[in-house]
Amino acid sequence: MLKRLALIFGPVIAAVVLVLAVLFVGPFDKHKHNLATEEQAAVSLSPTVFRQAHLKQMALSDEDHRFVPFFGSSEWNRMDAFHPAILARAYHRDYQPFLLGQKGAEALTQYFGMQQISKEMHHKKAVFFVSPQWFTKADQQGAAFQFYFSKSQALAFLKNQTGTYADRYAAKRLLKTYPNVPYRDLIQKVADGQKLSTLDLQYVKLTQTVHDNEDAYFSRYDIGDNLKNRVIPKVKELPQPYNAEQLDAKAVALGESQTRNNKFGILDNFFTNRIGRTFPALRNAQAHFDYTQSAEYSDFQLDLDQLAKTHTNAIFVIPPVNSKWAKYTGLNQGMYQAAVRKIKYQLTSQGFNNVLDLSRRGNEPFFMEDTIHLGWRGWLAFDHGVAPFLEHEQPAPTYHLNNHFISQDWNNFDPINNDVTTFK
Amino acid sequence: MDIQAELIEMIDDLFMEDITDIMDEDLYNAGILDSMGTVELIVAMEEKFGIKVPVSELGRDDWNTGNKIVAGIKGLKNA
Amino acid sequence: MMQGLIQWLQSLPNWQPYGEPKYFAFLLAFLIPIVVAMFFGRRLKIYQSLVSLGFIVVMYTGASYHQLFALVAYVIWQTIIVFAYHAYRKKYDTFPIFAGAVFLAILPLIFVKVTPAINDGNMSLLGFLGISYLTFRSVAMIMEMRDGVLTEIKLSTFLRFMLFMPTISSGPIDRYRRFEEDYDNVPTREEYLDLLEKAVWYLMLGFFYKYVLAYFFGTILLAPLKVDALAQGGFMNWPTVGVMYAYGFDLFFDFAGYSLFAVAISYLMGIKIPMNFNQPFKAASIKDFWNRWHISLSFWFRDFVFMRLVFVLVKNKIFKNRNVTSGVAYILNMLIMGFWHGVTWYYISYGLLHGIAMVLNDAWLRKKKKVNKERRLAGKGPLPSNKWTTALGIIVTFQFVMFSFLLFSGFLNQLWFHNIK
Repeated sequence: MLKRLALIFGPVIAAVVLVLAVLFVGPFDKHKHNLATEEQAAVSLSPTVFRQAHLKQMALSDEDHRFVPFFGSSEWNRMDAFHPAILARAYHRDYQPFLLGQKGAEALTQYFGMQQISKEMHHKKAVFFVSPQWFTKADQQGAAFQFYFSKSQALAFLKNQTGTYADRYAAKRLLKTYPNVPYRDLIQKVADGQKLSTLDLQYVKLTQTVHDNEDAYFSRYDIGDNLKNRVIPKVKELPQPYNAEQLDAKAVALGESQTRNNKFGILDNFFTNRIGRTFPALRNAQAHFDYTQSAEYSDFQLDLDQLAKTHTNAIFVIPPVNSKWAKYTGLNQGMYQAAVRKIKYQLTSQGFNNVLDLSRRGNEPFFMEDTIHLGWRGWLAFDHGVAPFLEHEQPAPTYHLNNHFISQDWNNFDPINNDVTTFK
Repeated sequence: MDIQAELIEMIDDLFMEDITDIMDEDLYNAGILDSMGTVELIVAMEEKFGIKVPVSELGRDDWNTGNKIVAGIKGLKNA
Repeated sequence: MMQGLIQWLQSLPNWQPYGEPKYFAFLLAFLIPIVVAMFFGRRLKIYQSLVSLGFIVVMYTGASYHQLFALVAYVIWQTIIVFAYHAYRKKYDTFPIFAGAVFLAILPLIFVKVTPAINDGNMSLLGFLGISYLTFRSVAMIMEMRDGVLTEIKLSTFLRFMLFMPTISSGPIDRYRRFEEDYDNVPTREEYLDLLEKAVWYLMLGFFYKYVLAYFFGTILLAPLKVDALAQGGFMNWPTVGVMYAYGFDLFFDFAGYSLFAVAISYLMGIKIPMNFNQPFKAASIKDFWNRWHISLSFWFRDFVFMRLVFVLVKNKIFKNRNVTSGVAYILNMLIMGFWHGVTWYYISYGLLHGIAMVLNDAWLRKKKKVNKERRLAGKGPLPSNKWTTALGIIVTFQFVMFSFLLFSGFLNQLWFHNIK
């Protein structure tokens, strides 16, 4: 009888033990650094890389190869020859960008993405590409946020949070943007200002272990082939050794040859495929656009709070829009500059003094690749500002955060009719 | 004529199959009976023997051979 | 009070049967006392009922709490009909009352199935997950009572039968008499060990089917094929052929996996619920296929729809020709099955297509029988019947079945009429 029971349940018990081992131990190479994987992940822009923690952690904690997080959104996908990832590779910089964020990613998405790499960001540098287009009046779209959000981010947030004002606000924003978020009960507790119990934290830790291992098994299979197809071939196109004048000439030449079918200096492909037949309808279509008042300002403050928490020294890049295109669509440049002033005030008044403001250069030829994204000479300008910051020793920043930047007051502050420096 | 002979004749009439030598063989497995045939047999038996065989009575486990059907008819006739 | 109950139900987690690994962990943990007791020859009736009830409640909690109310109302409705008919049948036996009882028993299901078709795809408030499968059980009981084979029913067993947790959402469809016999008896230790052994095997096979194979076909293969097929558009294209096979396999592995879980959990409770699938893609003909695919459903339709239709047609000599009789019954039977799946053009044509296939299959069998008889009289051997003819039968049946599943999937509806490019 016992033998029969053993024959029936023996394999089941063995299977359960194996499954638990697989879940709780994880792959044998989970602590190993694999440069090839890291390099691919850094430029892959795959949603998996953003959502999950493993590849980000692996690359950013690599002591032999320096990867720097580049937070941003759709601009990272404009991979012409002067894209920061390609320049860094071509000129053997002592850093490589780890691109974080794609189309639709905004400040809140970046905030939860940062939760997963808070340890790796400690006392390191980072680049933060902040687009005024994020700061729309309509709130962040739930679908885009949910697309980049993951259980892993939720768990990291729950583990990192200490119940600060920013933590509570982040939890509230999360519940509002993603009502059915995983671990809703725990996030609700944080939003309500309750402390997580020891049991809650144990649960978070256990779930995180399992998730991290799953992540370590699988995310390596979704890192795309940007490195092979879009980065390495372009590295070979660049002049060697580095020569700023030659690079600029090349940028002009490439820009000229690729912007022939329109008078806006927009990439031919983009103009044909993305604007195409909607072109006539776009005249003055952006006259009512307003980036000066938005809940995004408080979300952005969450990012700053997180950077301060991890003592990260970040440089902020503010892009322009294509001036000719803006004129056609009626986008109000005065409004745009007011939004830039508001963003810059939020940065500099709290000690984030490294700001590369390109916002007035949208009229330079071949600066913008399309309507709102940097390209060719724009990327070179980006590089002139960012590369020295990353390559040279910088004085440690001192941040003095002001929680008032997380408020309706600040979201609704009107920088067109008011002096931003009056906001305290 | 006894019940067995009558049943054999009935099945021969209905399905053109002679089951004289295979009275213990499963009629469904042999391809002689299917659900359609079952109902036809039920109707024929009702008319012939004046018994009422419920459709759900004629299960495939206890009415599946010639001999079992004969026994079933006898049982119902005496009931 | 009511408001409080609703809030409480909404706050509970929602667990779909066999939906995720956690579900199995909890379910199996709760089943341990039942298994141990069963091993020692005892059935923990009260404990088992409580556990079942708990797992049924969490099927309908969260956002779908109203389904729980629909379930309770439905069970009360069915109990009244079944027991009222039972009381009536003890003394009388008339057709109108019988027909009325069957009609009242399927009335809620009719509402639920027709509502989306006439109300813009909105679900009826009477609906809940598993309503069709509960209806099958109660209607079969009424029919067996009419036949006089089901004479004694007990309220407690009836409720346990209707609300048998492992099979409540999607079958297999059991029969009351079979269930009652299992429930009132405890298997011997030898028998129970056999059941345990099978249960373990079915659970493992179910995991493989549902979480590996169905995931592969349904998520990895099917989703991109659908995108390609819709992008190409038109009446027919190659990716749609891919959708056909991927969907067919997904349907099988998903449903067969689920059925294996249901059977395994029933076995652990000492109830030998019937199997639902028997290697359907090995079927050598369409009749064979319906003896292997969703068996408990096709047998239910055979016993309670097809055979009764044939009985009425033969008894009243509606058609002179028996082949016309069977043909009409096959087509009606399959059409009703199509309607049961849902009132949409693709479910109904799926049923019709299978009905026609059954008629053709039958015609071919008759033809073969006749030819073989003639050949025998002429002193020749029968038509060839060997592994090659069987293989041909399997291939033809498989292609036909896959095509019918493409229809069933509703994908053609999307491709032809709702393809927004």
